Amino acid sequence: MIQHPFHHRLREATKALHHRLDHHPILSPLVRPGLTLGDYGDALAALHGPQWSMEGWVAQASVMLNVPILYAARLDHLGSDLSDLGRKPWPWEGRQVEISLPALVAMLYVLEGSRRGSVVIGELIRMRLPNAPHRFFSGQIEENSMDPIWRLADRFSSDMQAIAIEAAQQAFLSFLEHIEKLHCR
Amino acid sequence: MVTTGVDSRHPLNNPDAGTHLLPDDPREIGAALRAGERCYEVLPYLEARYGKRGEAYTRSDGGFLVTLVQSGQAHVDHQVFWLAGVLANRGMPRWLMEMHLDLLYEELSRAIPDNESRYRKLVQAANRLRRDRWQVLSDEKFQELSGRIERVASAELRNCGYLVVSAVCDEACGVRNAVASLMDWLADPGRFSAEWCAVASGGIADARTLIRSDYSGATS
Repeated sequence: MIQHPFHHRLREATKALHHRLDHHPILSPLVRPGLTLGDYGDALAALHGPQWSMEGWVAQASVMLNVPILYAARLDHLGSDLSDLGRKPWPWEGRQVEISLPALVAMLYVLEGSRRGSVVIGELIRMRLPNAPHRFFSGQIEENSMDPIWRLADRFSSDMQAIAIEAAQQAFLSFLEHIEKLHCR
Repeated sequence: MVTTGVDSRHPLNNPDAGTHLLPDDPREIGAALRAGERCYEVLPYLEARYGKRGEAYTRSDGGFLVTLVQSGQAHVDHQVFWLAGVLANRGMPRWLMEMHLDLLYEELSRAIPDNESRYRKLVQAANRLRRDRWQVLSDEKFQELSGRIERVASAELRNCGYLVVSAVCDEACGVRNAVASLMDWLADPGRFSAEWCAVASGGIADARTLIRSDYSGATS
């Protein structure tokens, strides 16, 4: 499959932040043997704030920019899984980026990337915690699901690409700051 | 503030609601109790469907919502959206949360007027829920369709028209089970007349049509 050149740029620009997030002590247990219900609940409670913030931002930005909504929300599943575990979301006070078309492409990239990652993680969770609710970590990877996002980016100037890259990095950084703050409590 | 379960005699304590904070000021406790009672008065549906267990949850949810005002608005909004989504998936559309927050604000501000600005965070969160609803259906159309359903609802089902239309708005906002979880009970032919079930189901269809036309109008 040929990767859109801007997809490659965004991926490279967020690779290190993505790695930090995946290896953070709150999220890394999700893919390790010995995952407990407590670990799983902690990860879901930590994920809820950023997911809520990004999905809300994308919905608002899509309306403001008159762009069809290119993302199927998953927050509902996350909220229900948390509730079934008797848990509440951890406090979220993260920042949001200014609404623009490049920033929208960045957020869609982050959310869709997260969805794809969730499918793989979900298989491990179902194996290790078969009775736990796992609506959020479910679904299927659709190979072309990012194509409409890249069509939006087709005509981006280099300045617009730079805005998108900064917005994607900001999304990862906000999430990292959020879980760092919680982890240190 | 106190944690649930620490004192089982706390008037807002509900052992089934998990661990969370509750207010310990008797004036705030009284306000939370009155707001919950007013929700039940406005919507007989709540008692008919959820009974005493539902009342206990309404009390503990009210207590939890009161404790949120100690935090920033972003935190209040986040927690309110989460709880509203969870309840909407269990047959309590988010319009009910809007109302509960408005009533909590009224009761709390009356009980402790000096804290009014802090309690206003609850109304701000309700407004944010309303804006979400208005994004998929204008308030004018929401009121008009809810009122049309109300005109044929029996006294027993007072104000259910708002729940029906709100559930469809919630569904359009991504709360997947909002309609099914409400209609499982509200349009059950074993419980209600065929006429009412047809009106309620027709209300869902009409609201979905209106939302499609409103939403495509807003984005095209």
